[in-house]
Amino acid sequence: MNLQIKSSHLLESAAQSLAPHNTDLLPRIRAAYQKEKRMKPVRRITAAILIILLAFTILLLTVPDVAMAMRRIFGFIPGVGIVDQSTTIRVLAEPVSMTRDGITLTVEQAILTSDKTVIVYKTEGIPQEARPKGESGFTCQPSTPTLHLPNGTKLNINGGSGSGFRTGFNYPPIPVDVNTAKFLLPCLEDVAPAAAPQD
Amino acid sequence: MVNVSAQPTEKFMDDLEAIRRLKRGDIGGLEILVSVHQSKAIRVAALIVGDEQTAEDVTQDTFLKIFKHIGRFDESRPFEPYLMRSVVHAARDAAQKNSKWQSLDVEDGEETIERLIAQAESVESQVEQKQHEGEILGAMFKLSPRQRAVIVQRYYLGLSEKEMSEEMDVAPGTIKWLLNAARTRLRDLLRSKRSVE
Repeated sequence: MNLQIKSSHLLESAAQSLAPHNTDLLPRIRAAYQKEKRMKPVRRITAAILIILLAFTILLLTVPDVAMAMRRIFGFIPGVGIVDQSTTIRVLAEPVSMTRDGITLTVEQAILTSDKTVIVYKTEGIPQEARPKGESGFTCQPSTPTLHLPNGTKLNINGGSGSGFRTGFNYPPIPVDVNTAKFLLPCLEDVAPAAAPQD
Repeated sequence: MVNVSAQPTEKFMDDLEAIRRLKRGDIGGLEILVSVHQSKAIRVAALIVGDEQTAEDVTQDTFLKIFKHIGRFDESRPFEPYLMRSVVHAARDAAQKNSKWQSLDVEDGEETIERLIAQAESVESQVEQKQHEGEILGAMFKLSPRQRAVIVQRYYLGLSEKEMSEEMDVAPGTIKWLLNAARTRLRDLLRSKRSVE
């Protein structure tokens, strides 16, 4: 008997002692599957929505008056904090939204300074059925979004916070000659295990 | 290797037919796939998570996830390896949620799990063999979930290091390192247990 067969026999014996009951999962799986199929199509798709890819344009030259004024007076921008007043600052001219199957992702702010990039976004319309059931319910992982630049560079978060449905993440600075980026949210936070990503 | 009742080709065709039925909305296809594969899937999960209830939950969730996206399943590929890979990943994730383990320093992998298993085979009495198996199992659950997962893939599912590397999308060296670390850790744990005794 070769070692591979011995190994699998030994582990087979161990596995049988760990799970000795030969439980038939079919009734549970069939019931859960049929329940899932009965859900309204929109809700079903909503539960499965995991990857939201939102492309947005950062307007290099258009700086909203309010942010500019606050920066000039206080050196402070809401959502960013104190900024270096001697350098160029770029912001998203207006919020950008994408809606899929009733769930809306909105990038409310994109603020680019010489030392960091701040993205503030919110999600709306996640149905209760898509939430994990109970405190021990799994949620999809990883849920942290990344920024993708046209040259293929991926920027990972290096800080941030969230409250309610609004979240802000800090990223490394984006080069001044880059005016577009893709914001990739791998999956929605607090989404039930049945909605875990496949891609 | 784990016992398989049907010939590989026959099994592949049965699975394929079941998948096609499920894709057409026939729940009979689901029933076939669950009935055929659930026992092995639960055992694979149990070897990684360590308890039957969690293993069943992991297996159920994995089946449901696969069935939910069955329309995208590539029919040219066998179902069982895909299922087992999904179960291993889900079990590893479940185990990691509650695990308390430390990373390991790899010194050498000279004494391998194969040798430990050979020792288990060589002992005369069935009682001693069971005891030895229990020791190995106890030591296995002191490994990290990731290490347990590679042990299960290599020694229970019989995957080669190359197949594991491709499935996990990591460098072959990483698989070698993980296996080596797991073997070394097992050896140390068994040694320390015996020295206490």
